[in-house]
Amino acid sequence: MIKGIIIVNNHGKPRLVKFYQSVESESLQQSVIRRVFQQVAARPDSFCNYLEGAIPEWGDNIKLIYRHYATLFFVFAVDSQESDLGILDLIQVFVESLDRCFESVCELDLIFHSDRVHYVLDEIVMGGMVLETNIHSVLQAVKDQDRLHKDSLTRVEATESASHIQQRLGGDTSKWQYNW
Amino acid sequence: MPKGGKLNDDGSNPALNTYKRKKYVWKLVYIHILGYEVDFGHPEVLVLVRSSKYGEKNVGYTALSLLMRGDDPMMNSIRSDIVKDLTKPTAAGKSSAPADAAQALAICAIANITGLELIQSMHTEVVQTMVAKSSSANVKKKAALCLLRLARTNPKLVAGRDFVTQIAQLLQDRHLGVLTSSMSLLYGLASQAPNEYESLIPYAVHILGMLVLKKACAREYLYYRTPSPWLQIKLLKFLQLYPHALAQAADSGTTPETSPANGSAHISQLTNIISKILTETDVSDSINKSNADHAVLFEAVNLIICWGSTSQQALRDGAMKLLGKFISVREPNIRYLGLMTMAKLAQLEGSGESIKKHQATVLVSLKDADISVRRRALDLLFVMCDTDNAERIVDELVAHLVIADAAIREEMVLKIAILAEKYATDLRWYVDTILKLISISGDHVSDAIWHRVVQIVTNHPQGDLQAYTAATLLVAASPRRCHETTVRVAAYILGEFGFLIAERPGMSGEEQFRILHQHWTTADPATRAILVSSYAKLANLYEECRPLVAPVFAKSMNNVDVEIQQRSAEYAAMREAFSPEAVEDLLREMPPFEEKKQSALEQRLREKEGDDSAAVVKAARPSAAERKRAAQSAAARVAEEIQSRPQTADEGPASPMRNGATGGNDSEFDRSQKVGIPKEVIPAMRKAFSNLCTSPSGVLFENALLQVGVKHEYVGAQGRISVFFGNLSKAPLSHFRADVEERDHLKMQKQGTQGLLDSDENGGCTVAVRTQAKMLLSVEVVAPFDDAPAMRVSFVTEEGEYHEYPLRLPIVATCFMEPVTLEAGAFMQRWRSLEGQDRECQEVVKAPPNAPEIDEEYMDRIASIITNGLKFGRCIGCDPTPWTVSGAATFRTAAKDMNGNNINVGCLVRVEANPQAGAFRVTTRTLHPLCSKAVKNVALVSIKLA
Repeated sequence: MIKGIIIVNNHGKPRLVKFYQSVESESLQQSVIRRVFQQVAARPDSFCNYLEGAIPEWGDNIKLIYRHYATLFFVFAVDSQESDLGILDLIQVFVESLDRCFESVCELDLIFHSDRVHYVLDEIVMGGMVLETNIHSVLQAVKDQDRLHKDSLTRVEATESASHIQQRLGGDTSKWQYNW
Repeated sequence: MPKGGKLNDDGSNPALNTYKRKKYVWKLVYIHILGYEVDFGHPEVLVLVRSSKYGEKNVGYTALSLLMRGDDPMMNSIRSDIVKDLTKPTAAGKSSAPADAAQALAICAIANITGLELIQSMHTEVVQTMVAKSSSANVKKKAALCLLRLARTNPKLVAGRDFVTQIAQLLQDRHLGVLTSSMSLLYGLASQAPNEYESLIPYAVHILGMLVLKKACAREYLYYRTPSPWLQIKLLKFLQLYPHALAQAADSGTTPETSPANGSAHISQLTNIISKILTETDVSDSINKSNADHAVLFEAVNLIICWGSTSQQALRDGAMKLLGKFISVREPNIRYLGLMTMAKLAQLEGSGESIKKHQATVLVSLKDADISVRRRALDLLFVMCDTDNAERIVDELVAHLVIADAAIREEMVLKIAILAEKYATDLRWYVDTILKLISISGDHVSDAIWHRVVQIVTNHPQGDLQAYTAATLLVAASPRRCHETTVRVAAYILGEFGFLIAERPGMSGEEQFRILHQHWTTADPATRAILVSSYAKLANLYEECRPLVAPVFAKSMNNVDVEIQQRSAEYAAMREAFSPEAVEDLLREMPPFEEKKQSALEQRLREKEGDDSAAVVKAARPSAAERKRAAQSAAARVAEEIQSRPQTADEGPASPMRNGATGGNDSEFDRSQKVGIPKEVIPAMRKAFSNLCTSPSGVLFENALLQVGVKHEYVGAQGRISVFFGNLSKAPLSHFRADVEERDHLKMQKQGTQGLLDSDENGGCTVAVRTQAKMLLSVEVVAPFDDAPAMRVSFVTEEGEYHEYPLRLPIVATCFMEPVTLEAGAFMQRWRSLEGQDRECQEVVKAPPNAPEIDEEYMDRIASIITNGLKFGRCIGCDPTPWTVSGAATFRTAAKDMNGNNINVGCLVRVEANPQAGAFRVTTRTLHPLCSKAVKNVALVSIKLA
């Protein structure tokens, strides 16, 4: 299973952290992130994308599988049950989905739209398991969610404002509706 | 954190509107990601989860799974809300959301939050959701994964049997997303209990066939033109759980569980699929395309490895060829995976030769800049090593160790040590290699490694290994500066085997001490403790070392380190406290170490790499060199035992029993199916033996299977011994044999139950339940002796266990004594005439700790031992006080002297008690040294048992 996903920039600032196997405390989580970053950042791009057995908090035989895109490292920590190249492909799917979602994604998108990044990730990986690998259906699901999200809220806004007016008008809704 | 303060204010406001609340919660999430503790604002998250609006619920669930753990107390209050979302899809009805949107969110949250309680209370709902007809594809796939998560947390939750049909139903779904999730679930469940899901193999093969052979795949699921590689991977991984699938299909044609209609058709289809994957995967320009293809390819190769020799030779060759290509490409990922997979392949029988061809290529990867690749290359080298290429590979590794960086050194050192031990045809090479390791990378040589050197050297006394090691280490420790570990090994080895080289020039005991002692000031306490022990051993052997060692002990008696303090104090006081023989005994060489099934090094490797790594499997398998060595040393030990019998016997008649014990270990050592004498019974056996030496009948040996009884009587130089072997088990014992060793000093005639005395392994008689086999020995003694004849009893139990017990028959010198009554004057006259080094034997023995005080009654018992047990005549006149017992006897032999008279040996014994010290001194004087020794030994053990 995937034990955790960390997106961290070249300076070691985490941009997305998702632990599917939680560690004991916040500080421990931070130390895990720091160590992951240190190990990954030390490796030039010409090296392979695998790094073995580095995070004791997640158990023995954990492999870090990562990709480096411009300013960001996408790191997946997995156990021996996952296919090595499969996870590499999965990172690619994740990044391509983000790319289409934000139209050429950059680090700022992850900061200012961290909600959408989470929605996308939740459609690809769930509970440390690969949920969907088809970019179209990932994007479709995110789009559907967006729509639902907006719908539910504009409706809410509408009802809210309606009730507001209702209050001002002293409860005579029928009249108001009629006038409308 | 001012921002947090502001947030806090915001949070306390009950009348937040939707936008603000969402913004607030997202800020919490962001703060959490940055690494600050977020222990406030959780109620707002719960408000969002409970909201009926999808937009709020969505944010609420996402935040919930990020901020909270399953064991959070707040989870209790939210649990019922999650269940509501899960079970009543229409609850979100107010909004225009599709009925299952909230359901999907709830499932997702359950899967993401790890918490046993939450999971246990919800698994039934999740299962229902997964199999419900009404659930959409989106919900189904999420439910399947969620269930897998639950099953991983608590395997008992998902009961196998009835679940198979439900998964089968899911596997017929047309939606590839659902299929991928279902396969994840199936793979997860099946890896916990493979047998229960075996019937689903045809389904998996069918899907794989669709993807690979027909390329039937929805367009969206093509990843860089490869049909859903993830699904293929899952299918192949699932099939790897059934390594015997091919063999079974070949054996029976159809197994009852697989679909009976097309029998083993799916298996042949599977073979087609695999060979297609192997042959049709091309290297592509696009890195992503090639990644996807290779991901599938590697799983296919793994599957072939799983099948092992049951797969077609062509497939294995194909896999081998591909891997050979992969490990030489430049692309680091493929090379990395190629090395890893080849290490797995190397475990297959018969793959060794073809892998060895790639040795040079692998060595190139060992020098790669990338640590991951280097690790894999090291691993592969380790696995491909065998007796032929071991020296070359180990030398390469040692050469590389010099330039290797710290990250990989420890691993390399460990692996080199294991290889050197496993494949050493000459153990001197092994010792050299380890010494090189210490000098190159001493800090990474763990204690386990040098302990192993000591064990191996101690356990292999044949050849000149011990002397060689001692000399080499003396040289290694000579420089003023050398590694701490070198000092430790040198100290230990020189203490044990330094005497073997003491004659050589520049290696005398004094010189050895000087070389070791120059490291004293810089050594740490653990090393000093070892040094102290070595000094004691040196001082014991070489007179000239004593004045050098004494001041060191005197100084160290005040050392802050308790271990050093105790050792020095004890060694310093030893000479005054004990007799010289006892000191000698204490400082004797250590006995051989017990061979464990798994060495400490293998243990360590296992800790580091987990049970299923190729290297661990490799390390656990004994190599040809190791087996040969084990056989050699077992043989050598038997030979040595025969040779050294006269010497070993000087530890008393009890020592044959001790030899018996090591005999039992021998059989354990060479790891055949032989069962020896368990350690626990050895004290009892020793006692039984000693008893029998002085009494005419009794039980010599007894365990759950067998009882050996002995009856013996003697007249002059002749004796008759009957041995009974009774079967106490509930099944007959077959191939029962008893082999009594013939010695020069005893003429022996043997008779016994038919077959009992066969010398052939396959012969022997069968002893039925509750019956006895009998052996009758007539013996005649022709010369003095001081040990007891060996008897080897062997048989095979009904379960096929081969038992072999090395025993000793209680035929000792005192059996042939004839009492002589002497006047006091005559006794004293003879006593004085027998004075002299080789005619007298003397030893002090303590009364057993639980014995009563030494009084006159006790002395009467001693006297009766001497007269009845040892068959001596009491010379009352010589014992003026009650504290001495004197006796005389004649040892009769059947040998004739020149005049044709029988040769007899006169024997005198004297036991003096010291009631204050609770000790006895036994002195024997006879004409023959062996007689003196034998009588003393029997007297000693008898007194101990009194």
